[in-house]
Amino acid sequence: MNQYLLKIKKDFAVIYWARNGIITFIVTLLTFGIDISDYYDISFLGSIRRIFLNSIYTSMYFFLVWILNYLLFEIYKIVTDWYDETHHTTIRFMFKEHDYSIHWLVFVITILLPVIVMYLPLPRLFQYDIAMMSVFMILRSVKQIYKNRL
Amino acid sequence: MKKRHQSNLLMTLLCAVIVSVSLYFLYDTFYFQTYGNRTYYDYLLSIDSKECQLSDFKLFKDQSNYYCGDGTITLNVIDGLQSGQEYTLSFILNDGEKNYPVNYSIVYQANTTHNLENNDSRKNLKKIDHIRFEISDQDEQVIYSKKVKMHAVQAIYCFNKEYRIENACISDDYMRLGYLTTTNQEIITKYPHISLEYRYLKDENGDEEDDNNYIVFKKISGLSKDYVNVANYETYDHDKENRGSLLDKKLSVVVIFSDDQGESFTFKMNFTHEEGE
Repeated sequence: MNQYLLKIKKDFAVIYWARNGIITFIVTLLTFGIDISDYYDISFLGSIRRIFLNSIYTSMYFFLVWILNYLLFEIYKIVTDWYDETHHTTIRFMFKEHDYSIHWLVFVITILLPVIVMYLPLPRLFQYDIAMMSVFMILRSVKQIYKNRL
Repeated sequence: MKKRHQSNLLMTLLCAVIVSVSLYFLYDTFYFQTYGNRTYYDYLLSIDSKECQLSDFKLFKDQSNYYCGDGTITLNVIDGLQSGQEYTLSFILNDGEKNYPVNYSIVYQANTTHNLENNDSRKNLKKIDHIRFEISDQDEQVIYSKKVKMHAVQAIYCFNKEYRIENACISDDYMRLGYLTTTNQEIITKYPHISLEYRYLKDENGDEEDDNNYIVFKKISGLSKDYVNVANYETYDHDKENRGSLLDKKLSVVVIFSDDQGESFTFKMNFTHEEGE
């Protein structure tokens, strides 16, 4: 039984380690799916079939955007973790006997950046992508705040 | 920042720049292959009853407009209709809520075939739930009514990196050939003439690379500027009885660009069913 549980734990560990890859894949899928379903006025599932089954060029571009999303998220993680370590511009508060600190500048930049980018003449696909990646990054930062509470 | 983090950041930044540059240069090809002209399911309408037979009546949609017509209807002896009198043939398109009539005016003679020309488009009609056919007199009294059968045709397309045939569709015995699009605008000036040979595989067990193993069922020739990036809908009526269903055939197209000096540029593309609805 112990061996079996150990195996299950290892299997889930792989998913845990790959969580950023899985989440960025879902973000990319949502981005492409919403954009294509809106363009063709078709269902979301229909748009997914269009991504992977119609043209190799569409699929290839999807995977490149996925890779870019993953890299951008890794850059975000490295920068925010470094920023957390140097304890800049924090807001501190107590909640339910725990001490929370928020590095608000990171939040401001994470929210402002997509707003600015929305006004740039980028294709709609990338506007959706930036919006969804920003939400993902903010969620990650919120998770870090909870994880680092004292 | 720790050295390890610095080197990680630099490596990730470098990879992100490489991927971004690739995305930038591939965007035009991606856009061309992904965001084609919007097509919607098309229909062939038919009625096969003792009183009337409707054939080749096409109903297709281009974004928000439905176009119908280009078929024939044969009216036999119908109770209540008098020879020599004028009647209105109506195709009542229903989207589930409202009716949208498409009307044709005819002078009735028993056992006569009438051509139904292309009719006005129906704007803002997103879908069609069912269609009824009615014959009414000049007082708008409905004398004959019958449900119309709708046969959905399948959307097909073919492509390579720079060229696509879009808006093509097939049924058992009919094909709308679609039109050729390209990102390469220079081809039109370099090769002013174009020939499109639509064909299907003669022997499925034979060599697909052998051009003699194909039957060319439709050939379109003309000026490149009239056929490339121009929504020119030509059609083909297939003899299903003698040649088998078009849906069972492996279709392909040979595109031949040529100039006045005899130089040509040729390539082939295989049709495949378009996914996603």
